Amino acid sequence: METAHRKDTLWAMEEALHSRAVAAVAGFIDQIDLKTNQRLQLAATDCGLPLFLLRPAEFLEASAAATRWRVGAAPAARDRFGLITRARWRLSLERCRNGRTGEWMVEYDHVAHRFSLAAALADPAISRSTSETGEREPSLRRAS
Amino acid sequence: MLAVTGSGGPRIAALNEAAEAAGLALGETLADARAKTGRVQTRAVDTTADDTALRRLALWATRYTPTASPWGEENGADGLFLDIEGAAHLFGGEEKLLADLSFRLTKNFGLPARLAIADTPGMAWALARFARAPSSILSRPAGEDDHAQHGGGGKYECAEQAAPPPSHFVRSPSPAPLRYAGEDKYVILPSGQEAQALAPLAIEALRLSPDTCRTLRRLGFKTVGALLDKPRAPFAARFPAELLQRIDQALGRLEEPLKPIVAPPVYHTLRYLLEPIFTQEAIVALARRHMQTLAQVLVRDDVGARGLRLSLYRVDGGVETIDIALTLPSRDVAHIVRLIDLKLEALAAAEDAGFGFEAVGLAVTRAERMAARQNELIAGDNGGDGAEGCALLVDTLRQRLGPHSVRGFAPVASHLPERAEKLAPITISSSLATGELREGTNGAAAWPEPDRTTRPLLLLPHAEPTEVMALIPDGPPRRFRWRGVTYEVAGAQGPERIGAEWWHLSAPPAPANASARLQALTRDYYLVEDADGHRFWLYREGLYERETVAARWFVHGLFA
Repeated sequence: METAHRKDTLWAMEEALHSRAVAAVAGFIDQIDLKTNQRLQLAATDCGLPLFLLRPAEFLEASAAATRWRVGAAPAARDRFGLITRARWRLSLERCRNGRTGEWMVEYDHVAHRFSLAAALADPAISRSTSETGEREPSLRRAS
Repeated sequence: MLAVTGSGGPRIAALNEAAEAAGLALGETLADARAKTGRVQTRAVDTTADDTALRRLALWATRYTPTASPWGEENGADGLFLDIEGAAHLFGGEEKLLADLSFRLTKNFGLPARLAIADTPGMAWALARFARAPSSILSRPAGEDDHAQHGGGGKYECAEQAAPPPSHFVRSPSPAPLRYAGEDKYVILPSGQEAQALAPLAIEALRLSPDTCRTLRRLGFKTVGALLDKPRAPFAARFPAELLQRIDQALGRLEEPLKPIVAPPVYHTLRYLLEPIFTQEAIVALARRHMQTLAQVLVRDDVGARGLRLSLYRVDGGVETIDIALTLPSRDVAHIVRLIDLKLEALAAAEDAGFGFEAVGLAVTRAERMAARQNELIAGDNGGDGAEGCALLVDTLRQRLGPHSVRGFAPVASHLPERAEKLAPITISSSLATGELREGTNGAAAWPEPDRTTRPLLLLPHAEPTEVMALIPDGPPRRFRWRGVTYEVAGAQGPERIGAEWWHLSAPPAPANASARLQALTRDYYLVEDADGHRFWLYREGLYERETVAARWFVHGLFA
């Protein structure tokens, strides 16, 4: 859905969270002040639903969100003929309440439809811990 | 002229006077008709619209008698039966009733009608369709008059074209002789003369199936009279039961019950107030009480509201109406009142109440069937299943942001990536709400299985032109410049060739028509990755030396 005003976008996101009919809410918003941010964070925590805010990379103001991720490009995995087998992204956790920040390289498995850590970095212990944090966080904030 | 798809191509289903004068007949193929006259305007028959129009006419006709019954398929579906027993005297007699009915049909609906009154429905049907002044019954070969009543007029709407001749019957005996009033527009048959009146009519007047009619004609039975005095047993043995049944029904030996039309219920409440109200809270409180009243009726009838209208009558005479549309039928008071509240909020900003509102009415404008459901004993935290919750959310969002604000993706059969999907308003089918189907099972079936490895995460709304350096004109790109940044290509994968949709072009691409030529070009898509891992979806438009000399490049999507 598209809205004419930023205010309506925020209202719609909050409405969707409170309806609890959805699995997650994702919104693209450029500017947001701290107070609204806290309000959204509260709504997400109350309803126990993940809320993703997609932000342009330029905006880096203070945020009340639980986590902030930055997604960057990374060269894809190639087979010996030079064909792309798995797309890769560089993920960095820039802010994390009650947790450690870090940087990971993930690749997407098109057959299994899931992300996994890239082979060079794959470590079962890290892999498990990141996937768990990702699911448990009530509110994720992602900057791309 | 209306056409219907039949055996051997489309056939004529209805004609107007001009087409009839040109020598066209019902049942002809459309190809024959075109060959005969050269220019004919045709429309496809819309049986649903015909049916709706006939139902509306039947509902209107209940002003004469409570028992009005639109004709079903077996009667030709183009007229009505009215049981006017005990109702005729209210209009000053049968003749006056027919005159009034004929006048109103012409004036209100533009329908020229053929009317008949008889003791039985079958007889009235036969007279309305086949009766002429006594001389013409004898002189005119049967079967030809059929078109005249179908095509009559030619001025009325397409939707009502199939519904011109209502028929009427009465059971009260009237001792007058057979009367033909005005240019044989209506016929009144006195009681007890059915056999006499039926005898000269064509056998089609018996409402038989076309097969039976054809067989009877082949055997030499042209009029009903030829059948009436024959022994019954051989006919019972050789023909379907309908033959004798129809004769008996027309002559009144067999009862023919009518299915009277039932007016759809009206869900409406109105409340006058002692003191005018001004505030939003007061209106909402009143709307809640209205809705509580309506909800009981809706529950009783097993329906839910899909559309509602709140009417606010001002003291100074004006009326404010608020229309509310719902995604799924609902009779949830709290939900509907919340929607009204949201709508009022928008209205309050634009207008002021003036001297206040003295009456408030709430009407259901669209009701749909809604199965009763068991309420949860303990209200769950998500209150209802997924589809219903989604419908509530969509309703709420639409009230504030406008009816077209919430949209979903729908697949389109196209190979061009930018045309392969479109945004359409979300519809949640009620089958989802009943929980029989899981969400997405019916909608997702239409989506093609996408090749996710070669489709970008972000497809640009419009492909953006880019400057590309390639080693050979039809090879992959080596370097390109997009949005002011130059990217060195580290690896390219492709091409994936997507042909132009030539079937969408009405004319072959002419060199002068630049836009048509652009559309008709073939695209070669490449997946391109630069040294930092940025992945792009580029395409080259036009095949080198076959379609174009200087191919243009575009960036169409981003992977990372």
